[in-house]
Amino acid sequence: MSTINAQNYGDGTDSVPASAVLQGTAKAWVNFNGTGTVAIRESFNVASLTDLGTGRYSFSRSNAFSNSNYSSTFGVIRQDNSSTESSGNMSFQSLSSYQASSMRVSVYDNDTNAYRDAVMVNVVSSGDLA
Amino acid sequence: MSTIAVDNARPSAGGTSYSLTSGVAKARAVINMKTASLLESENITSITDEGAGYFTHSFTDNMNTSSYSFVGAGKFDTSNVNAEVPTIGLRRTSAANSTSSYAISSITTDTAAANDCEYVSSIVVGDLA
Repeated sequence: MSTINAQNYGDGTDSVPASAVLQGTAKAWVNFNGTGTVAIRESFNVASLTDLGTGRYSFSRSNAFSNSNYSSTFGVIRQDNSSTESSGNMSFQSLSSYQASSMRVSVYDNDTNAYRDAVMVNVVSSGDLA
Repeated sequence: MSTIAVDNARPSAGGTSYSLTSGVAKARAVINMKTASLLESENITSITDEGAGYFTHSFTDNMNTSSYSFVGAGKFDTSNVNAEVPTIGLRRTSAANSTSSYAISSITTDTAAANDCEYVSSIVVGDLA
C-alpha cells in the first residue's frame, strides 16, 4: 500500500489542508430500511443493524471511532410521497448509547407522540477512527 | 487533468485506514426554498420547486445506485433567531431514490404543514456512477 504525504491537496485552482481531507471525510454512513425486517441498503463502515422495536435502531461500526465525540447527522423518510409524512423527527436515543463502536437512533412521530418506523433512515458520521 | 488513484487513507501519525472515496461527500447544496435559489453547491446542476417545502436537487454526475445516503438541516427564517425550528426530512415518491436526483421536504413541526425554509443544507455520500 502506498502513502501520499502532502500538506495540501489541490486541483490547480483551489487547495485545502490535508487535515481537512482526513478529518472532513465521513468515516461512516448508512442508508437503511426501518420498516418490517430492517435492512441496510448501502453503507460504509457499518457492520450490522439491529431492530430495537418500533422506530428504534442500533448499528455497529466495522472500525470504531477513536472516542464517542464524533459528529453525526441524519435524515429520515417516514412514509413515501407525502407532504406531511415525508419529514420525520429523529434523534440519538441516549448519550450512553452513542459509543465509539456503535450508536442508537430513534424516529419519532410528533403528531402521535410515539415512536414510528421509517421507510428510509440515513446517518452520516465524521470524526477520527481509532 | 491528473487523477490520483487511491483506495485508503489514514493520518501520518497512524490509525485506522479508511476508504477515502467512500467517505468523501459526492454532492452538497444550500438552497433558499422561498426564492427557489441554489445558494452554493457541488455536483448539483439544478433545483426544482415541487411545491411548498418540497424541492428536488438534480445531480450533475449521477450516483451509481439509488441507495446512497443523504442528510439535511434547515431554518425557516434566517433573520429571526426565534423562528420556529422546522422538521427537515428527506422525500421520495416511490420505493427508491433516483440516481439522478434527491428531494428534501420541510414542515412546520407543530402543525405538520409543508412550509418553505429560507435555508436548507444537504449532503450526499455514496458512490458516483
